[in-house]
Amino acid sequence: MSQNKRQKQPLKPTAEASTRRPFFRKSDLWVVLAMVLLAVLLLILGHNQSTGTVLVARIYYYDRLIAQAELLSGVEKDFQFSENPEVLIHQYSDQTIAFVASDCSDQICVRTGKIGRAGEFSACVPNGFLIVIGTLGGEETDVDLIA
Amino acid sequence: MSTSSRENIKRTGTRHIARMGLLLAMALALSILEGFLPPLPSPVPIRYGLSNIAVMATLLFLGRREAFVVAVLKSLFVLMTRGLIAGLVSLSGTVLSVLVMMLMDWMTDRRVSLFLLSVTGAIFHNLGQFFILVTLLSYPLPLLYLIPMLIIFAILTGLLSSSLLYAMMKPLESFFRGQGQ
Repeated sequence: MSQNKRQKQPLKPTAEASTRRPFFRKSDLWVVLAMVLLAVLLLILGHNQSTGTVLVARIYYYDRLIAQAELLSGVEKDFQFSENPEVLIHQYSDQTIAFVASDCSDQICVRTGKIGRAGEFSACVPNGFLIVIGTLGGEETDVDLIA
Repeated sequence: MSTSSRENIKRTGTRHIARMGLLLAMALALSILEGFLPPLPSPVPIRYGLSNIAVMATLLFLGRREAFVVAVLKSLFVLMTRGLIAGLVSLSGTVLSVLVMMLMDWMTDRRVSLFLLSVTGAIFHNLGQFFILVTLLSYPLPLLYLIPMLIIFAILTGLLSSSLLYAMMKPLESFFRGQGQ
């Protein structure tokens, strides 16, 4: 009776049980392929939606657009905001933009470095700043340059 | 003494708590170590997710409930050291990731491969984090660009985490087998 009970018990989380796990199964390949396919489809869909040709960096403070700058070749500019003067953003002449200084503890924003392709973004989550690269085109051209 | 009561003693015993503490310390140490590594060459800010190795090790060697506890405590540490927003972002990603890994572990009767467990955990960790950024902080993120990037880089970081864990399996097994049975 007790032996039957023991047999029906699920596999306990022991070191022995973990050794039975393989690193990779052949069936995993199909799952990974499905994921990659989904990613490619979404990328194509996103690419078709961005029709503009002029790159623009939009700087948000949480959900509020506080600055926007066309990423033109040869243009260098610093951005500093009253919301947090410790956060410094720099637009480079090679059509990229980056967080160059921040008082946040993890410095992920600064470590992200330069971004300059449509869709790329960099965020300073502790301070609420976000830079998103987009394109000027269609309805988006109506947005005024704020910075 | 019945088998179930012996199990209860083992699960709540000092040794069991000490093992959880060790794995939590491993998660925190890996999280700190990650801060010194160069950023991933990714168009979106993504971390390596090395601390997931410790969470997966907890899931494999101690169990689902313990993995959940370690994951939540790790995020509470982030909340204490890096502030409310970073803590919430970490908590959302970690909790979603560990819940999905627990579900996979349960549904496959503990037979899911390390690679798939790690990749799925990484994908849902990223999705959980960015879900908070989009909903709670109202960040206007380009989702059609972001989600594919999260999937692709989760596959890569998941591969890294599962490879490292696989490389550590033997020493971890001998530690847990030798110390705890």
